[in-house]
Amino acid sequence: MWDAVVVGGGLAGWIAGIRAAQRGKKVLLVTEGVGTLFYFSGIFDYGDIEGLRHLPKHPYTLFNSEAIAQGQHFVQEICPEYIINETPQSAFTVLGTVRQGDLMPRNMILPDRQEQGRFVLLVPEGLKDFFPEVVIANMAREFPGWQVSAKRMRVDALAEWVKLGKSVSSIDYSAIWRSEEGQRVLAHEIEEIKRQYQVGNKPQEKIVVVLPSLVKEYVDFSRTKPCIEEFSLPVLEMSSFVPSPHGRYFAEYLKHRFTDLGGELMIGARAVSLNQESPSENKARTCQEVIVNSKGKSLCLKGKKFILATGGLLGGGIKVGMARKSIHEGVFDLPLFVPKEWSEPQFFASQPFAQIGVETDELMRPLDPARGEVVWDNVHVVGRMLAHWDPWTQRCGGGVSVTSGYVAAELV
Amino acid sequence: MREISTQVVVIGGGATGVGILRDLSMRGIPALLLEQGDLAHGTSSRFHGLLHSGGRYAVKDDKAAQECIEENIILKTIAAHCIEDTYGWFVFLKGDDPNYLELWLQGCDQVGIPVREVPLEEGFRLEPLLTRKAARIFEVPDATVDGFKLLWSNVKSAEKYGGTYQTYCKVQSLWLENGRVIGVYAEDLITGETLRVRSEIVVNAAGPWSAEIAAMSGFNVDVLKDKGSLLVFNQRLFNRVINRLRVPGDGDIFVPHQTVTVFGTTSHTVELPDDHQVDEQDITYLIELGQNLLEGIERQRIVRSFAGIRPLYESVEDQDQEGRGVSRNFVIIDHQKMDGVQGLVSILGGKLTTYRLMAEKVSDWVAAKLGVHTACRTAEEPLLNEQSAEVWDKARQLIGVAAADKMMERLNEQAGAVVEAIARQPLLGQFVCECEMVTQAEVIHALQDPAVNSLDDLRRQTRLGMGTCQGAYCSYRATPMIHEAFGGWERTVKEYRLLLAERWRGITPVLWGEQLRESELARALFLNVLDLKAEESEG
Repeated sequence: MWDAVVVGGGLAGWIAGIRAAQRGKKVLLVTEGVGTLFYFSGIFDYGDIEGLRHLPKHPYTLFNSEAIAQGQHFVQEICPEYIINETPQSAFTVLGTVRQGDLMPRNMILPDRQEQGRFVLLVPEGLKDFFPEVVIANMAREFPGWQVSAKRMRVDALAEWVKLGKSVSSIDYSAIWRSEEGQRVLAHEIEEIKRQYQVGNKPQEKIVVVLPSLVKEYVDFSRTKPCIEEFSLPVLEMSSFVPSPHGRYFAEYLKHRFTDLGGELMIGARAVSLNQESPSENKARTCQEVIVNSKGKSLCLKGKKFILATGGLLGGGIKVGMARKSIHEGVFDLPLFVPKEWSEPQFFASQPFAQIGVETDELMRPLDPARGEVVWDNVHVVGRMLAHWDPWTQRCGGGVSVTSGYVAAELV
Repeated sequence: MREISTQVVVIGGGATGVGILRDLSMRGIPALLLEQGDLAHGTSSRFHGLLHSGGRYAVKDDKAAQECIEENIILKTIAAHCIEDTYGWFVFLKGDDPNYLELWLQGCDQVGIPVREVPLEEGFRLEPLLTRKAARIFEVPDATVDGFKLLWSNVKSAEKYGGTYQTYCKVQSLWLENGRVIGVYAEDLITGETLRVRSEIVVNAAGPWSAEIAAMSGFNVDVLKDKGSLLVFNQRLFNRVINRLRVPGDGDIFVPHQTVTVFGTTSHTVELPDDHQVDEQDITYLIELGQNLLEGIERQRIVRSFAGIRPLYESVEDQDQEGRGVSRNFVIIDHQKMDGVQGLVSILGGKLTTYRLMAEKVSDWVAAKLGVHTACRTAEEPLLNEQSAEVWDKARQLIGVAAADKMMERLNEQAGAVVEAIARQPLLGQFVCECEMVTQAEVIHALQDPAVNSLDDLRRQTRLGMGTCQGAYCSYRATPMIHEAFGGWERTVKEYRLLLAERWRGITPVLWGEQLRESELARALFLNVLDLKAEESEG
């Protein structure tokens, strides 16, 4: 019997699992895959918290400001490279445009636009889905007072491969940057940049090296052991495209954080149904165990609390069948809020279908929308499984997932 | 106002129009084709992609069936690169009308459609998803045809013979003088410039827009605008065209196409020539009908839906018929006979399969009027020149066999330059679109064509954006090329938005299952990872 069984290994699930384990609880995290962290840009968005709290039923209405702040501090606590600021910070997207973010790694935070200086974009040869000309043009547009230049570079280990016209993924490059050879090459390139731009006795220009797919954070627990060498010039990370090196190392990091705290992990297992205490009339039911399919075996996992973090539409926790005749939540078969209007004609608009999810009480226990009663007494719903929000247009994906995961862990 | 003169103006850049342009050009008749959008943006790309054997019309419309089988054989020779010779099956289900089966076999025999009965066991082995309710299976020479490729091959061939065309150029009115059409007024939709084109003959080949063109001068042509809706599945569910052997109706054709399957159709009369909206009811209706040939169809992944308008000609005897009852034959209207005005001819009805024949007949008419006696050669001369084996080999070495073959078919003799570019800079061989295996070098090449004015035009030339990702990845991967070709970031963002908006129209009616998930991913990529601004919703 676990104190908590967390179903789903995305951001909200990991946060819930780690926090509960940190509180000394016996926790099991069951996940089918790696969740959507592989699409993680590296930046947590919280959005306009106060504005969103005015939207009826938005997940933020379930939390007080204190809980939201606690969640943020928890991220910083487990990953000290993330900096909390009064005002949002900015970072480069993979296309060199500037995007805001509420919680991002120290190495990603852009310098002040009012300053003068020079960006030198290091362009690793053959990096897939990376377009230096566009990045340079965008950086120059975004930072009018700055000089922008590029320096192409290659890594010996990849030279033959690239010569054949094969591209190199950002995941591969980030692994190289964490290796000794990669560090040596980078240090050498950066030293050359320094020599090139800091010649003679002309007044010192501020030089910032910009490098895609460098992921310097998530060090201690990811066990991938990068060198912690400091370079001779400041190096700025760009946020990630997919598949995301930030997501890859962050997921790895969270996993080790969790298991180091004594959390138990079951990967490749799909939760499919549950067993309950014999239901009594007019009373919220208690879930006793979830049934999990793994390698052809079925396992029953008993817990006091269950945290549902299966990632909504994108994560696969909500399945929508042909012609929307069947729409269901895959583990507990929870009642769902399903918007009447399904989509907007503009693709980039806030989409009604994004609001699909589980309605809950303030303890994130699932409600039956028709009767407004709690369905399961010991189940808490977190992250993208919650109803009434759109992470992409409201820009609060990280905020809702971290906060709900954190708060659920406090309830264990 | 810019003024040009030519001998013949062809209105409409669909299959018929480009076929006429090529035919006239091959006969040495100077011609200019004007198209209001991109080539093939209308009916010629909004169909199931079936090259008919004639089997579908064998019972009711023997003339159409006859034309189909003859043209089927011709096109398989002259346009082999646009056709996948899949063959097609007519599947007779348990409980279907045996009388119809008899009539069908007789009909096929009469018009010369070769039919082979496929033993059921072989049938189920070759097409494992085919319904076990199948009682008899007959094979006919149906095939699949790529409408975009066919059209582009026609215009490129026409250009070699001196033919010219202008896309995004909308005819505003016919130029009439003394009871004679002596040209057209048109607007260049990109520059806003007005164009006056003087010509001896104007050919109205505007498909669903034909009535609108004729009506500009008060002439009436009876075009029945019949909308057909189709679904695109994410994979090849069948390897042959699968028809149901019964009176032609809705939802009875599956057509495998490259990496997807197209399934249709429906039939509703509509008012507007560009009413391409697909109703959700039509989709549920189609899925229900699809069960007859493919059980468990509801578990398959639908990528998108689309609709096209069949411009059917409603002859006097057809007047009371609905869309399915109207003949698939075509008709040439000489407006001198009909309206007493010289110099204007309209071509109506027909099918993509018979586009070449329609073009031949119109061109014969035009040639006779102009006193030109050169015979039509389009039935013999292939659309594609012999490919250079050297270029082909080199392409295969650089980007692999499948990708090279696709590229060679798309680019024909222009492939040499693209192959050279990849040889010089191998990383240009990276794929922008993985479904259609379109390389960066090919995109750069396509963008040099003055007819490519948007990412959406690029889609029609290369099929980029038509696969499972529906543009989410390939529009991102086209970024450096469109940034360079169209000049700058704002335009690049606009192109993303336009392409994704266009794709979205076809996705929203089928927004469920894995495609819904894919759409959430696309939103995450563009709104979060790439940080594009959200749009205000209309409501």
